Amino acid sequence: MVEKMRLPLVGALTAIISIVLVHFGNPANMGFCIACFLRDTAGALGMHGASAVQYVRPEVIGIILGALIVSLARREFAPKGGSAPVTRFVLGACVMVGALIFLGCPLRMLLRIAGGDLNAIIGLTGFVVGILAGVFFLKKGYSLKRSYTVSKTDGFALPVMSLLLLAALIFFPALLLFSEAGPGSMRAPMVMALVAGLVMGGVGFVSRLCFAGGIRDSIFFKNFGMLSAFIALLVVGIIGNLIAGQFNLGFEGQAVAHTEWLWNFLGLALVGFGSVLLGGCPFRQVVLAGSGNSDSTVSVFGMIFGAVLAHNFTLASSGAGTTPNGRVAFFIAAAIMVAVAVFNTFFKKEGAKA
Amino acid sequence: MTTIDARGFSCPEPLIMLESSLKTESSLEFLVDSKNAWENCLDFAKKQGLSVETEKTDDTFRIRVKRG
Repeated sequence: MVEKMRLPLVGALTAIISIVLVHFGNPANMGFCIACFLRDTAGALGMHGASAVQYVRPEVIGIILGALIVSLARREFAPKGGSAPVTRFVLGACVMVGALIFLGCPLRMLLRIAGGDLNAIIGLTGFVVGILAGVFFLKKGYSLKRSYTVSKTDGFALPVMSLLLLAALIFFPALLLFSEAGPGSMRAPMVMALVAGLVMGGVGFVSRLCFAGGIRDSIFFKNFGMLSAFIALLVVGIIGNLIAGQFNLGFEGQAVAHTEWLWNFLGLALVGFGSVLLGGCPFRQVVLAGSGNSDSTVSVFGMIFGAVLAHNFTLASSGAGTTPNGRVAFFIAAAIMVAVAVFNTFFKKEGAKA
Repeated sequence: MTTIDARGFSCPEPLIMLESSLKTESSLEFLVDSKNAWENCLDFAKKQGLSVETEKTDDTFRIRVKRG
């Protein structure tokens, strides 16, 4: 019974933490958004010039360190890597482009639905279609090949960088850029955001919460366990947002969202497809990176690179809608993903028989 | 007994490999190197009604599955 309730509890907890973060200052329906928060962090480091989205988000630091602490405590911290790192970097960048066309990662997609944003339901259908495309290639044998045990420095690199970033945020904020207006200026208190991240990192590691994996496994293996977490997240999220006065049903007037349904669909289709090719959604990649997986660390770096491209070349959407550059970038990113999928499905050689 | 080495493959590949191997093999030894993959594969084998033995040595989880 306890085991069966574990995933719904994880979903409910995610919703509650997110609502609290929004109540205390985060942008609407953005208690968590891995894509947005990596983008904000890149902006705070001056890697892009979008002044409205610059802030070192303590939530991301917390997720990385939470996953690190729990994986070490459970003796499951495992520095592994070497499974097509450059390909993963590129896929990470493409996933970020898709997420910033939609304006959110899969976790924020669910939080947006829970906040009454119907555009995110269109996004969800695209996400599922993208996952179906990924499952098609998995069934045909898609693989980025093996990872191997790597140096501990590879595993600890991202957590140590996160600690340095946290130190800069607390002790040397003058080194960083901070948005004075826009989503980047909307922040829950630092300690609260950090603790929320730590909890989500730990819970995410133990539960293996993955917004792409849950849908993928229900399609592929008829394993519906993770879906119970998503349903609980939505139900508790809707109730919580209603109680907190944060529920706003409709397509128009949604925070950090646009109403171009085709691009909401296509943006998250890209994220779904890329997440299956990477083996996990952006949240899962950050959690795995915290637990020593250097392939996921490279994927996270790729996502940051994608965010930098998205804002320096105006690929990212805004509340006003998509951009011409963003629409072109979608096709480039989609073509790259299809090429990665085709090459690593039909033109690979490696037997598994020992 | 055939040995399938799924160490180093990321999820869900080990499970896909186990599933497809069981279509042609009635008993096999399956190697994985993550607790995640190990639990998924054990769960799958048990649901299939296979007899399962497992042991952990260093970084490797060995799963021996057999029909009947």
